[in-house]
Amino acid sequence: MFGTLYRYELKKILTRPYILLLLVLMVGVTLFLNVKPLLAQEEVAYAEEDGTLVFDTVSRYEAIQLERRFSKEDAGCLLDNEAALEMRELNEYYLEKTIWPVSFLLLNRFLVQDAISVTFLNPMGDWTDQMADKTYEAIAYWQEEQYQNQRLTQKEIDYWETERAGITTPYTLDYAKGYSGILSMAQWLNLMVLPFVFVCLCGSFSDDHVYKTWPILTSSKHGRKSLVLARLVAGETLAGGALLLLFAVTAAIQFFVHGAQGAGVPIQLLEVENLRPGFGETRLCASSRVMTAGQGVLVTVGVSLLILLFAGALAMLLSKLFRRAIPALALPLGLMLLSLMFGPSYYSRMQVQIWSYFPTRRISEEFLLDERLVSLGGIQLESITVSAWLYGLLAILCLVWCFWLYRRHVVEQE
Amino acid sequence: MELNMDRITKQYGAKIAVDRISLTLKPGVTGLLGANGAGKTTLMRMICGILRPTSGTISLDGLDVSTEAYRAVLGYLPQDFGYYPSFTGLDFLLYMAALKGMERSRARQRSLELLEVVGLADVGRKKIRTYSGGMKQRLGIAQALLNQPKLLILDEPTAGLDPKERVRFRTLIQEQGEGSIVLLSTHIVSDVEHIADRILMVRDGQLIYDGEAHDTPQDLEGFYLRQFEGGGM
Repeated sequence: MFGTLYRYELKKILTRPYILLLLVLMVGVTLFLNVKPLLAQEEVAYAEEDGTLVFDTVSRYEAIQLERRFSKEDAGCLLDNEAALEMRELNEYYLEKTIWPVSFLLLNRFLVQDAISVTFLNPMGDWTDQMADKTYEAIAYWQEEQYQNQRLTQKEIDYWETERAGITTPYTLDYAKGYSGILSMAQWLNLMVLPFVFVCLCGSFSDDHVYKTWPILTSSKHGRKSLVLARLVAGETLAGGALLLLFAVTAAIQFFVHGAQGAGVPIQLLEVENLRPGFGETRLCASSRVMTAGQGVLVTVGVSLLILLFAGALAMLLSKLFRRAIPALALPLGLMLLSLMFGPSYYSRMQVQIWSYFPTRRISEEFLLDERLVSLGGIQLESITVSAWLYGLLAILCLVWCFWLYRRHVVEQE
Repeated sequence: MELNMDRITKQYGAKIAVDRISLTLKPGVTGLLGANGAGKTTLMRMICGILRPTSGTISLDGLDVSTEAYRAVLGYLPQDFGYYPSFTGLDFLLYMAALKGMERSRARQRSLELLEVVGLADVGRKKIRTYSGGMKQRLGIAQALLNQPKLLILDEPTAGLDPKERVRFRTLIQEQGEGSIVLLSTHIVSDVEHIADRILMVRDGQLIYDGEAHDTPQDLEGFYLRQFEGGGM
């Protein structure tokens, strides 16, 4: 019986014509955002096994396949001085040998040069033979710089210093671009699904009044408890399902293009691209977290899911509170747009920190770099823990409130 | 089987919509006549447990109106029957059957049976938004009958039905009344004069007439109008 009600509640949402259209549109945009960068042209240089030097102009997709091909040689190797020196010497050898007028980096030791590059160091820098050591020093420098940028207190710095000490060096190299690709898309997926959820669920309870079905619903045997539970679960399924669908599409494309290897690479070696034109990529080398690429993706998807579950619960609560779909849609959508347009004063750390927890702000390229702790009863909590608890509890609160309101209004007093 | 109402009152501020009505209904069809605004719908909504009386109690064989067991044996067609336009007729009945706690296979069988009974079998798989007013009303009647209710409350059920449909509907209700308590409200006398076993009349929230059908004067229409003379009809 619950299953049937759940199925019909889900059907009620999905059979609105514009809902399927929006869903298709979101999947389309996701495909576009994932595929478009692959069509760009790129110049590549690499040395074949017989020593032949190849220069070519290929699509980004083909360049990635070449990166993957050459990465296999370095996968599992450590980022140490020896590897860095070998990479430099190989490049220098071919630079001297060729008459090519511009400098180039061979794809042959791609993982080594890419790992050095993420720290803003020139992998070809010939001022030291200890390039790997310099890379780790640069990472430490960016991590400490991050403390200043986020205006961490001494207590927070101490916390992250302890955390940072747990990072194992030298890093084991692997090709993890599939994971950084997913992280790059996360914010956009959230920003697409949030309004979609508000649109889908703003009428979940008000429709009973619009279509005047509430008398037959509430006078039926299961119209007072099972129905509301089925409706809440269906709403949350839609909210979570839409997000997971888009993440699944993204993961499928990213893993198809880049491969799924590299889950164990430390996040310090990842670059998260900013899809907004004119904004540079975010380099996670500044993070002090002991976290792998795979864990980073799981955490991002997990927190995104909790945000969407909260958004779904909020939409249903507002639908019950207002008994009208328009205000139930306008309020969260308006707040969402305002939060995207305006921000707090940069000079107030607390304001900036609170603002960063807003649903539209939480999942950004810099989500994993947020090292500002929240002190709760003397316990220092990390931003990821706070986000999970905050959105999890808010979602539960909205669901319980909605359930209570429904049960309270099931018999009219007036 | 008895539906007991004990001094049911519903007051909205200074206005008394239903005024201390006490009744006991037994199996059979009871017609509830009254002008628009007489308090019929308010009384029926209280019987269905969706409107709380200001005072008084309602119970069916000792089951309070607020219990799930009471709602399990209730069938209700509201005056303004609502539906989800994107559902097909069959979907809507299956959805309502789930709400009434019916098993899936039984629900399907009963839904198809009722679609046949109310003459919607051909359009059962079409969206309700494509139905005419009469078809929607017939669907409303079908949903009320899904769980073979012991207590069937029909608020102005013939609204929107054409003469042929009205005749079919009366037969259906008469059959239903053989084993259940059926309370049918209307302001059209002909709806109840041939099928009701008992006639109730309400005016300004008060019960002004309660009589068995065979005790009611032959000219029910005239008798009914006389009850409301000067009553604002």
